[in-house]
Amino acid sequence: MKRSLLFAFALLLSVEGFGQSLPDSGYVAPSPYYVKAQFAGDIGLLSVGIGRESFNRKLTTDVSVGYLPESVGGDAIFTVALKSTMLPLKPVRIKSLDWYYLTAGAQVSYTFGDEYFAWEGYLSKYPNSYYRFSTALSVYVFAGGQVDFMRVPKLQKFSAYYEVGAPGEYVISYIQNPKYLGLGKIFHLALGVKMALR
Amino acid sequence: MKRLPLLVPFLFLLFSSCENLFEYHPHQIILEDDEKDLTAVNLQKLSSQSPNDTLKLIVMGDTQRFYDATVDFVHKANTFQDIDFVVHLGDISDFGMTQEFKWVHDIMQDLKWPYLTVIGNHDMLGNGRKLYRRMYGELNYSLVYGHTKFVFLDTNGREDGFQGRVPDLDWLSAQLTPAPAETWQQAVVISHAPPFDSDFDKQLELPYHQTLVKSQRVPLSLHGHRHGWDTEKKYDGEVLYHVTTSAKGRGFTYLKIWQGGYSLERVSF
Repeated sequence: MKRSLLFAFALLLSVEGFGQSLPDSGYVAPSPYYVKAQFAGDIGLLSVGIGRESFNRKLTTDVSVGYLPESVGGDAIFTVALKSTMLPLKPVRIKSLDWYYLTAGAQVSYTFGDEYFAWEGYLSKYPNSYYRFSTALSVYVFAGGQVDFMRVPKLQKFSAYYEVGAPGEYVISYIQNPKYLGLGKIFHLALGVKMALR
Repeated sequence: MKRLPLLVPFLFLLFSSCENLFEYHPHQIILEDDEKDLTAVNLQKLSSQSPNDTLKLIVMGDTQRFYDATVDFVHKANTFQDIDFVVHLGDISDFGMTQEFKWVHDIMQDLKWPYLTVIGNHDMLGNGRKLYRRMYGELNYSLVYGHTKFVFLDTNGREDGFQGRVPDLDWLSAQLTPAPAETWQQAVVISHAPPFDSDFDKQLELPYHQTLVKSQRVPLSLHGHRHGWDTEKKYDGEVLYHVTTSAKGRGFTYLKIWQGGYSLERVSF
């Protein structure tokens, strides 16, 4: 099931053919503000957020709220996240799509709940610097790509993105355990859509 | 543009190499069927084994973030013969995250024998407690194996705020009192933090020791947590407290138990 999903996704990226472009008539510069929805990505099954593009669309920054229902995740978890994505390279035109084939960024998230602590210093049960990490705050790093539908009629406002990301805890574990852990063990896929606000 | 045909298969490969395609949250509790109720599964396996007069155990712990060392531990442990079971002294994980427990289990299931665990303080972080219950089972449990009873006890008092409830000494005392039909002669108590550690509830330190002494059946109390070795008869000298180093310390204990006696050997890997 997962493999076939992947195949379809790769196909989607490749079947459009390369190197053709459509005239830019009807192009309307989008607003820098957007709303987004994301599937997975370590902040819930689904998250929704709002953000802004800056530096000539080379950086996007958004705030989102994620929810993981108990029926899927074994426990209901609410998370908020601040995420910045860099789009450093010019997009490649594939017919009427603009493909940013390299994006990368980082996210800081906060998980709600009494079982998580942002900083153990707030909790009287721990002496100073007991654990030296936070269980509520988590850094997540990722790389991926984004496809803009700016030149597709009726879909001008939309972009879709994909990324593989990992919590910082996994990255540290990987660096310290290169034999057992590998990139395939620590990175997971996330998918999302953005809609420009006008 | 020439890079494009290369990039697509590259991305495809990258994605398909992810073993679990999506992760919703590091504290999600999503387990495969063979990752659930492991204590019950392993107790079931043990009930089908026939114990000899001398029991042979491997005791290790504090795998935390030391996966490569844990792989080496399993290789070394598997060179031993006729082990009855392996004991993990807790701190299976470092951050209490599900994936950490899964990785450690993935490594530990290559052992030739069943392994039993006791919960460590790190295993209680975040969703760890809830996860431990689903993946392993109860925090306090026991097993009678041949002539010996093994009592697994949560002693992570600090994580309970030192409220005088952890460890549960009433439960322990009841466990160390044999029912009329029971045939075991001696007991070994196994927990993460030793009573003389600052993470053990101070008000229960001596009562813990006295519970063992009063039962007149416990010669040995096994612990981890301290990331170092320690073997000492504490307090009035009635019980030997033996602390095994961490996986990072690259050591484990080879324990033999017979009726009325035992031997401990520190093994490096």
